[in-house]
Amino acid sequence: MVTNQANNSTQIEVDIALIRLFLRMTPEERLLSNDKHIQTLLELQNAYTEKNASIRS
Amino acid sequence: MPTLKKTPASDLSALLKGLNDAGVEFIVVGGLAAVIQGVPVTTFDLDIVHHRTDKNITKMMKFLRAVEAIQRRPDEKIIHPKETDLRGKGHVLLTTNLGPLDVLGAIENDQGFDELLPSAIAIDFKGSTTYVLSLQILVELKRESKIPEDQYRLQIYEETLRLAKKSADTD
Repeated sequence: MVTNQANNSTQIEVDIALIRLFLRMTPEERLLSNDKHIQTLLELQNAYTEKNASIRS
Repeated sequence: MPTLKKTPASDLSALLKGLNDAGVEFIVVGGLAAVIQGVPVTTFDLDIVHHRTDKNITKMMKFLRAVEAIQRRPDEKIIHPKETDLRGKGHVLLTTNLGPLDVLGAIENDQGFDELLPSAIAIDFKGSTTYVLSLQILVELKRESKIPEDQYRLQIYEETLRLAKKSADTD
């Protein structure tokens, strides 16, 4: 979503194409998309945790 | 006292549908309200402002028991929410078997369900009317917020609102 940090630290560049893509979806599709993102992030976090655990053991 | 062991599941769509099916009166606020209206961010919890009537609190308690709601606490002690927790204007942060649920009696400027309802939009979600705080109001709340993360996200919210209005004008 945030593409680049601009010169002013309080300003960010907003990915307008991504917003347009999301606006074309229905509210229900957006909710399902959010759920899928959460699942993916949790799976990645779990994989990272397991990897660290295997390195420690 | 028992403590939480497992990583909680997260299915916010199912959590929302469950609240609707239970007949709970509420308004979706926070990050998921923004997602519903097209803001491309990911949020991990469902924030709602519930109607603090006796009848609604009874329905909410029944639903919370069904989804095994417990307080979300740093020490992970298992404490179940009580009816009295839902009667005030405070925020009750819960973990459920469908994901994190924040039940808010009121938000900024003491605004509860009755005050926010005129600023909510109604969407049809899986066959039920669901009230969602409008993106315009979400932007205004973010503008007033002192939380750095809110300021960071504000520009994404504002740009989405601008594009959504532009799109509505051209339709």
